[in-house]
Amino acid sequence: MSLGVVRSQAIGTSIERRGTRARLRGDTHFAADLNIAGVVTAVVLRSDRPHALIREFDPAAAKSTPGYLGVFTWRDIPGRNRFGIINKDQELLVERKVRCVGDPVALVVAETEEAAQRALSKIRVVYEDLPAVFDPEEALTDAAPRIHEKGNLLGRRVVRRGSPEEALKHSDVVVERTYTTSFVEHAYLEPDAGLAYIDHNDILVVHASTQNPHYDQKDVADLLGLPEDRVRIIQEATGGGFGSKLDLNVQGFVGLAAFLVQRPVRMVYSREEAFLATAKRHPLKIRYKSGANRDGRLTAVDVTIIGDTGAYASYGLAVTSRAAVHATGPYEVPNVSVEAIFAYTNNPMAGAMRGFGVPQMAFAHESQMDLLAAELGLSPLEIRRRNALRIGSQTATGQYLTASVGIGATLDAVASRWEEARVEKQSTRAFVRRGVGIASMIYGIGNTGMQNPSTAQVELGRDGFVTLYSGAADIGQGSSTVLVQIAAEALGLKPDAIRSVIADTAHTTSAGATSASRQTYISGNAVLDAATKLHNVILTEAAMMLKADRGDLELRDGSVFLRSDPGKGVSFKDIAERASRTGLPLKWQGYFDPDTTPLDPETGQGRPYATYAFATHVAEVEVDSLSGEVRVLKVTAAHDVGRAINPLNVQGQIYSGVAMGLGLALMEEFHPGVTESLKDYHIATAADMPAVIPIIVEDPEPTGPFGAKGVGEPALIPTAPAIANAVADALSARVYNLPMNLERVLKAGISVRSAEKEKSCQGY
Amino acid sequence: MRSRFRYYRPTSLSEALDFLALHGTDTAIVAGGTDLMISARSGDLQCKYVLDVSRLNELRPVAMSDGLLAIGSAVTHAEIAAHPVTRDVAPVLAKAASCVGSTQIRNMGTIGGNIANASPAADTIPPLMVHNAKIVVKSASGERVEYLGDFVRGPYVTILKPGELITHVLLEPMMSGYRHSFQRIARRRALSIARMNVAALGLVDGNGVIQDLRLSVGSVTPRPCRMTVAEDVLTSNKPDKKVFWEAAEKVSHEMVRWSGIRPTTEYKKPAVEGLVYRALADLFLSEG
Amino acid sequence: MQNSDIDLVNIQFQLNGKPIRLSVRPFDSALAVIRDEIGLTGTKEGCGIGECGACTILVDGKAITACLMLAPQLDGREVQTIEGVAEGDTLHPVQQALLAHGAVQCGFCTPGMVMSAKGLLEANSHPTREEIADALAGNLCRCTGYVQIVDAIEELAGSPRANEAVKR
Ligand SMILES: Cc1cc2nc3c(=O)[nH]c(=O)nc-3n(C[C@H](O)[C@H](O)[C@H](O)COP(=O)(O)OP(=O)(O)OC[C@H]3O[C@@H](n4cnc5c(N)ncnc54)[C@H](O)[C@@H]3O)c2cc1C
Ligand code: FES
Ligand code: FES
Repeated sequence: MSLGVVRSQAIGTSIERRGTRARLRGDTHFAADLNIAGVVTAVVLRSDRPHALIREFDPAAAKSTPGYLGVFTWRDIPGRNRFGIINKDQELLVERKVRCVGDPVALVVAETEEAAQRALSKIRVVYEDLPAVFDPEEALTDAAPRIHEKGNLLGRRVVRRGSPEEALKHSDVVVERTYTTSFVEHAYLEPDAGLAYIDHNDILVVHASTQNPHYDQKDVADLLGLPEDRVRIIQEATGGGFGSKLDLNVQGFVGLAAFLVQRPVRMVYSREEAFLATAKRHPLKIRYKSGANRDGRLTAVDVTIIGDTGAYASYGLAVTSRAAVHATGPYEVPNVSVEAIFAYTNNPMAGAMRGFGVPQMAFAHESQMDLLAAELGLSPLEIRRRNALRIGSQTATGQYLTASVGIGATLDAVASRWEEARVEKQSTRAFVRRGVGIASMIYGIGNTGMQNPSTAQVELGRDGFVTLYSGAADIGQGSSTVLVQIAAEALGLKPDAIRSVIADTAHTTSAGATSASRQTYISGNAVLDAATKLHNVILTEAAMMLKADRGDLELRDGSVFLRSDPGKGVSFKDIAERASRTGLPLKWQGYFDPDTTPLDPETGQGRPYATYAFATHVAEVEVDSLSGEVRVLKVTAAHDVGRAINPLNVQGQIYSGVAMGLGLALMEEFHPGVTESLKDYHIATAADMPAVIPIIVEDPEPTGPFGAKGVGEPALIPTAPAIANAVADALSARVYNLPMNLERVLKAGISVRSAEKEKSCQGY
Repeated sequence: MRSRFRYYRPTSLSEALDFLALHGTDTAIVAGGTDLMISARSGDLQCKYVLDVSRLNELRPVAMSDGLLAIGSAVTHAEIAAHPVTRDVAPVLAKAASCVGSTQIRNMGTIGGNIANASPAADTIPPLMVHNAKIVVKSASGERVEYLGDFVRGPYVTILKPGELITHVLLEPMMSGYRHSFQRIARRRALSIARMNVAALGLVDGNGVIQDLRLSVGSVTPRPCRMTVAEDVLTSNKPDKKVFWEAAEKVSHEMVRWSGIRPTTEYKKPAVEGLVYRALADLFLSEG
Repeated sequence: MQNSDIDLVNIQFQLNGKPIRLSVRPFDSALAVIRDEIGLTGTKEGCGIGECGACTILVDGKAITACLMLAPQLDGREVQTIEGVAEGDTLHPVQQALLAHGAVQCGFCTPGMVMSAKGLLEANSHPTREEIADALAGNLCRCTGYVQIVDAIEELAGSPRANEAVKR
């Protein structure tokens, strides 16, 4: 059935992000800002040992603390004391042993935060230390202490295609290097917080800072032994997440405490606790061997990836798969051997973080591309062009790409800046070298080779207003705005005219997690599906009311008009009234699940994602060989997003990604047991930011809502490798470890420095 | 858990000194609070009273007196960075103050707090050293004046006694013809404690010979000092890159002599040489 | 309840243009008092140690981090928090500029950022791009990458757009 013409122009317009005015005024409530009568505070007693058995636990002394309400351990958990997004390997309160520093041992509830802390300090725990292991390779040896009963192997993902050994043997050039990356902290600005109470219907309500309300609901219900519909999660304004708020952080604790003390309970992590207790980016060790022929074409890659998931899995398996699948980058590689092995250690848990392992892999594959280019005497831009995926290419998993393969277009988009920068990069001062680097990336939208559907509802109310219901958590990236734009476009409305109900499990159905850059593409499609169904019903009713042909109708600003007689029309309100009399439903459910297939466990072949985003960044840097300081001057960032539904939002994501990528490249390193807070963990400040030139490339994705794909994670991925390649260009020496901190850069630049010094000491 | 204490804000210096005479051993002084509040939050601060000196007018002057520049201990970094007098006669200090933390920290943090806290990375200390700064300390029973190099005994240790407070610092003004440089290395471009920092003052005579050179380097020695070994290499020489490197190497030898070889030495040795070179090049060569 | 053994300090100051009197615990931070006692939660806590700027307020017109100020130090001061910036429904020019540039994502850093920008423009009405970046460097933002924030303030300050140029 054909749809009517719509007039809305909601797509491709940078409308104001929903909720911005309130945020600017300080009126928006984040979870820590909530206050209700009688609220009490919960805090967690955490392990200070990396691996130990709990021998004694004595809370007696805590009980006399004024304001004390209770100390709870795993024995007080009414349901199943296991949770975790993929593997249920985490205990809300540990039962027998702690597996990392920061593991939760007991929950303390008191009238005030101070009283709770005071009571906590009086609890006596006697540990029996166990041997601990902090290196993933060591963790996989037979002699290693066993962290989980099932052993220390989290998982393994293999991708195999063609005959890589043979191909490498016959390649004209082969380059092999090993790369490492660090634990990285998400450092969202809002430390985790939540508030829970039991409402008048006996439903446990949890207000939380979260990326994943519907998953929270399941795990909290399981922990408490409640049916799911007895638990309601309401996502409060969330101050960033970047992956870490996909895990259950405070939600389980406040839920349990409210359930046990039957009072409203709140919990607000200090920054130190957020550092101690939440997931990190996986540090990877990547051995990367690649071959190419004189024609500049890649022949084969052979990659081994070792990942440290810390004490718990969190999203570790997703990172294992995604790292393996993305190991070849946005290039055609006929022969592939990739093996990713992730292990448990007694380090802090590593989980999802913007890019799920791909930023780390891109550092490796993009460094390799430059090394190959140098061997072959090609320019870094040229070698990428020769190997870039295109329509008809097959990926490492054997998937044929049939549309929206914008990698070539992103290379073209940065080419002129690349050439200019190479000319401009004359050294400005002695010892200070300029360098230019380029890096590209591919990123599969949505979860890897598994179902990850989204649902949404769009309803026409009797008052003629349309309401969008979506479970998609907006954590600052702007999904609520973009989803409304999609619904508006489908219904010929101005986005302002649409109301929205977002991320409340009582009123919305699951949209899946806000992760994997999936909300625009997957939830956008679900919204489009729902809105299209409503559009259809509106059209049918209007055709009847106007006694007109459907094809002659146009939806515009909340009315349906006759195209042949524009003066004639009916309003959505009239339609809604009539429909409610006739009993026609006006709330429609939308659904979308991307077309993927599971990966073959032996070969990793399959269709892991329905669509891919592509990007290329050019970074210009200045490296001071006297100090090891790197200043990023400019980043030119071209992104194929399919279609920019809200261009200002897309630009915002690109700037954001560049900032985070710069941090990943130069300064972000979390040292377990050492790094405590923002005083010793550095993220980029405004003064660290280069000029950023965002370039939006639109190669529409036929299955995307109005052609859109996603940009949240892709924005970050090419920045660090582009900076790494620029530093290598400046110093004629490469750093193989992230971050490229002062120490590493100074060391790499020592020969440049010696040469300059030689010059200066020889006189003039 | 937060430290607990009582708060007292005197309205005059003498009132402050009287309070300290009575409660000195139980009292922590607060000015901008940018160091103190960290230890108050963690509970490390142990005291009965906190004495707020931030508003004492006696501790807030910036003025020339008897040929010396007097800066009150409660003068903030922002004020030092912007004040016409400091910019004129102690530009290296003004520059250093402008590098401290962030706008907010500079609006709160004071020079007295920076000195009393005695962090090896304190940004005002090397500039004060090249100005031969003296610290004026008062108590109810009198006043003493100490060179900064004697006042700070080691990392976070000074000779300040209970009952005393710093009223001001006295700097020799930079004479005309001098050049100055402040350089620091940090892990990012703002809001970052210096990995190391250098202040230098230099004077070249009519024949192009260095007549006076003063150099102080932060974070490389346990106590603030002037790098006389390097200064000696430079004075009476013409500014020349080779000499700069020679001086820089003297500094790194000095660092190793003081602190021995540590895991951080692999970086700090070449870095301090580089930083000293950068300061000297900045001082004397329009082009590095 | 637990305050019986504490000598409270009576303070009074101007808060967003109105006089306020209250008794505070001497060791609490100004941030705790503003958020928990006064109930103005627009000022955020992101670290408690001066490293993030989310708690930035203006004291006598200067941007400071409220987490590093003792509550009694508010006494006698003129204090402005984010709640006192807009006039009724009308956003302050700084807020308008940030809105127009899409410079707000999660919004957790936003109140502090507004206060710092306001403090800057009150001291220097025509800052350069570099001065803006420097003045805002004490306000971390993990979402926006700062570009649109600095663009907004730059446009507001009327200085020429410099983003296209590679700065030295
Ligand atoms: C985020 C952040 C960034 C920072 N960045 C830098 C930086 O880049 N460079 C740098 O050097 N420092 C930095 N600091 C440290 C700090 O800001 C400075 O040391 C500042 O100068 C301290 O001054 P204050 O007035 O705030 O000290 P306070 O915290 O008030 O006091 C510090 C110490 O000095 C004592 N004291 C204060 N005044 C007197 C006095 N008149 N007489 C005797 N004792 C006194 C106090 O008792 C206390 O022990 C930073 C701090 C933070 C929180
Ligand atoms: S909360 Fe005050 S600076 Fe972070
Ligand atoms: S908008 Fe999220 S931290 Fe700035």
